[in-house]
Amino acid sequence: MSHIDVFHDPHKTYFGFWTYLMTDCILFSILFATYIVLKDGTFGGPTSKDLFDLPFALTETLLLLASSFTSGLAMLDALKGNTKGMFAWFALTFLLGASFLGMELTEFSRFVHEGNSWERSAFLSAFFTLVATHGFHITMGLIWMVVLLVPVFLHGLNGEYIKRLTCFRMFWHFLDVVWIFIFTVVYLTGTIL
Amino acid sequence: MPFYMGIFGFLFCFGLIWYMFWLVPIGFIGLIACQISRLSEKEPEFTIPKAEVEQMERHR
Repeated sequence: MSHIDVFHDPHKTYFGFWTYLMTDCILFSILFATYIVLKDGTFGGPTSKDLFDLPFALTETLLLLASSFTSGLAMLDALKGNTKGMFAWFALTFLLGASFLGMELTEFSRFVHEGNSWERSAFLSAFFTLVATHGFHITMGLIWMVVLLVPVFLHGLNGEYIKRLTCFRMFWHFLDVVWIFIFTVVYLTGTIL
Repeated sequence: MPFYMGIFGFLFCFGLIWYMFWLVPIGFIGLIACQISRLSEKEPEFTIPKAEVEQMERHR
């Protein structure tokens, strides 16, 4: 009598993961609301127009969008059972995500070195909280990607691993969407309006 | 496995709280390793059939 039922309906898992993503959405919406309220509270310090570098932020956006695209290509290869192609695309996804994170940290360290850290004004506190929360999610996502891929490397693909990778991909796309909102609300309206 | 995970989690948090920063990476890498080994298990889930549950309940 076999009790093993690895291939049970994965949609329950996906629904559970969507629920988690929506709680994360609540977290980000609170941070967005805080940022919009505190945006003009610069306390005599630099405004968003003085600080933000739009081409830099656009490069970050393109890197993250590209990493989302390559994660999609990786999943296509995974569903076809092409493990080699999947690893190649996931490696590219990791590199793009890591370079996005590197750019974000470069920007943060530039702000702090210029004396515009989160202690400077309410605007900068809200900015660092919002953007760094997103950056922290990206960091955890990168670690998660490696942790997921090691068992696939050791044992090869199966239905259970496909399920996990699908959850990861949902998370990665969600972070991409959140970044699009950050780019629009923080960088675009911050430099143009 | 949950036991080792607890140990590494304890080391990680203990290091962070008492500023023993050499302990932090040990705990963190241990946690990641535990996670990988847990995720590598061949049968992470199993189902207990209805008939068996009924049988177990009748036995009591």
